[in-house]
Amino acid sequence: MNGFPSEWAIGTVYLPPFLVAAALGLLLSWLTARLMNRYRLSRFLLYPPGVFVALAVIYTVILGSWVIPI
Amino acid sequence: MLLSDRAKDAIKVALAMVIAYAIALYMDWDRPYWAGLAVAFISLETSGQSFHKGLQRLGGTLLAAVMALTLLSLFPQQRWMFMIALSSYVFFCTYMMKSKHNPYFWNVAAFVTIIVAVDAAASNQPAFYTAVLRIQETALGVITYSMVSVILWPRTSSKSLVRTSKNLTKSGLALFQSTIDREFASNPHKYLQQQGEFSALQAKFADLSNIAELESYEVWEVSKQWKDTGSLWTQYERALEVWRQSFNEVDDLELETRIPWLTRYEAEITRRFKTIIDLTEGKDIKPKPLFRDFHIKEIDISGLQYFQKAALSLYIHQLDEIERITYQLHELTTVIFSENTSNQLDFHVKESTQPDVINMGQLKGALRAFLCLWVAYLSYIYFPNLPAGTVLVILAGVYSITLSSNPYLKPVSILVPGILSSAFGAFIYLLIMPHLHSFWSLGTVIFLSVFTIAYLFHTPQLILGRMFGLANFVMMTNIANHQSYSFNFVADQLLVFLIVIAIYAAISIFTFNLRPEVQYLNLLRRFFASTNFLLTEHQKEPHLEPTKLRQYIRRHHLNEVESIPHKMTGWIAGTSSGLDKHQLRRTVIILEALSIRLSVLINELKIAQSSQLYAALRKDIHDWSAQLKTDFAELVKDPTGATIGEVVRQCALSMPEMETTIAKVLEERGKDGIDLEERLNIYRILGGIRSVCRALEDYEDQSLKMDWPQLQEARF
Repeated sequence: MNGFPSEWAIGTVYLPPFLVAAALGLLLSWLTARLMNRYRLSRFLLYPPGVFVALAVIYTVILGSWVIPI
Repeated sequence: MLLSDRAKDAIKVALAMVIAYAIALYMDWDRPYWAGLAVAFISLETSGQSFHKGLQRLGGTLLAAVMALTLLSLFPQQRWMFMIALSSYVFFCTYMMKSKHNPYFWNVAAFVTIIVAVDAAASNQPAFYTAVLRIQETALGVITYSMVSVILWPRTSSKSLVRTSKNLTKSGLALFQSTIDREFASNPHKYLQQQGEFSALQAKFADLSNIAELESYEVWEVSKQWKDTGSLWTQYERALEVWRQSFNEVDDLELETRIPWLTRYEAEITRRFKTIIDLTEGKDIKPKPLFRDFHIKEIDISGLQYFQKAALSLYIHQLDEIERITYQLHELTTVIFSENTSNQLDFHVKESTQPDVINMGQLKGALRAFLCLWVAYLSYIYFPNLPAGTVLVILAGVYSITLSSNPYLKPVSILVPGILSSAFGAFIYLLIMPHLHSFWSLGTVIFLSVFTIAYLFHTPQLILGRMFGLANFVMMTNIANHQSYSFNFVADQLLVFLIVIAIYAAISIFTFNLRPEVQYLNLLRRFFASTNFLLTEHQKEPHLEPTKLRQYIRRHHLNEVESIPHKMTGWIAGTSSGLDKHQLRRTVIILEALSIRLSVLINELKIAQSSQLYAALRKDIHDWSAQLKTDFAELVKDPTGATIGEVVRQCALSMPEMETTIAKVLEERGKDGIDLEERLNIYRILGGIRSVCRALEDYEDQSLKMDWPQLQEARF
């Protein structure tokens, strides 16, 4: 990991790093939402759909900053 | 050669698909997959059903072609005006999908307009060429499948109609016997299952009676009688349910002794059903004359209190209603299956039409489609690097329009069949098709692929898999005379699909929140809001004729009260696992009872407006309904039932008062001074009030068992 943005290669198919980070961000926020539903933590939220979008953005930014540079 | 129906159906679809492709490729038409799509979407169980759906597809395409060309010619260089007009038209068509007889026509009229209009903007070909191409390829698909289904193992709707009629009568008889045996009290699960089977058969019967006349002269000749039979079955289902609702009130009245002809009545109704079954089976029988002398005057009401007379009156009224319906069913069946003519009928069946009211569910679906189309269009304009450009707008339109009438389907649940079918299509397109060199080999691949999909996804429960499988096979393979292969094409198609689902999910979540728990509670509130309106309406001055608008709104609320419990059932399966679904279902059953009892009561009140007995009771009834109205208004705000104790107590207090008032009036005027029908009507009103109070008591008890905090809590 050299910290520079680079495309992800699956075979000969190249994917932009933002797409990968956003997809992973979405997946992680979905998992978080499932867990919060499972343990009934979402009842403390005012507007869960808004929190879902915020989580997806936060995860994507975190992944894009430190894990998959975008 | 012994082949199952499943295999025969799959062979028919596969063969029709190969022939449609063969003709389109031979004629060198562009986009032969449009013919393939027509075959995929119109293939149904019988040739009549397929032909009917095919006609709707063709009619919708014709309207769409005209509309697309009109919109393009009106706004050739004004993209915003064009989109406003197109999306408004799509909104209208999607809302019209509420129609009972031709929803598919409106569905096609909406999405084909988007295809032709948007495609023409991005294509080198003139819009007229695209429109004509779409029409001719749709016609090719429709004609090809219709011919194949008529020639190869034909399955006519008329045979299916007769079979369904027989099964429906058997199911009606079984339901009648279960109702007599008080099956609902001893085994409610089994009873509800029987009721569900009856409703499903009834819907199938109504559908087939409209279609079979297209393909059979015998059915066409007596089509009115077939449709009247369908209306009568609808009336029968309701009458039986209303009858069952009155059981609790009369259980302690020793009915066998009070109604001397009750046993004979049950035997007579059973005999009628059996005769109908024999006639539908084609047995050569001479129907015996029906016994109809069940006299109300023979009933023993001695020693009964007024509320008991009231309950008995409601019970007898429904017996009378069921007798009338079964008599008419018997007579109509005799006309359809034996030598009697319709001139011999001494009655006229009232058509049970769908009330002309606002369909809130479809209105929301149309708004979802409208918004999806706009989001896709704005994305297409402002993010030009999105894959597959115009396809995004087209697919957003197609999916949101088609899904508009099924809000229960979660967007995520479409992902799996969509991705798997795309992968299957991509496999054929990238790995098999490049090795093919003639139409014979291509035809074999098409046949085997379509056969596999149609064979695997045969049952109605798997319809989603079948539709996605066939559509994505046709779209992904992109078969043409000048065939090209590109991985980008596959990747773009898949990405567009994911983006469209994301748009649809976002619109569904951020606008109407289609979470089952939220919808369940919303429907509960809507139910009480409508009951509240109906009671307000009843309290208005009877001598004032309601305006047309008022009548329309009243019809809307009546329809809401009758249809909401059924809609609530649809959401229960999707609720979170922590909730006790059994309790949710029980609440719906109580609401159904309340709905039926309220509409019976409101109907009786309407009849009683000019009665003198009613005039004496008017104040008491108004006081009671004013209290009920206040409580329903509270239930709209808080449906947990915590506030309805007062109305139940009030009811217990006001019932004896009403009885005293009736006794006084009868004493003053003498028993013979008041018409029997008028007296029965007042008894039925009393019985109705009592049964509504019982239903509210049940709701109060049931609400204590519900986990309201969990149902109301916020969730993702």
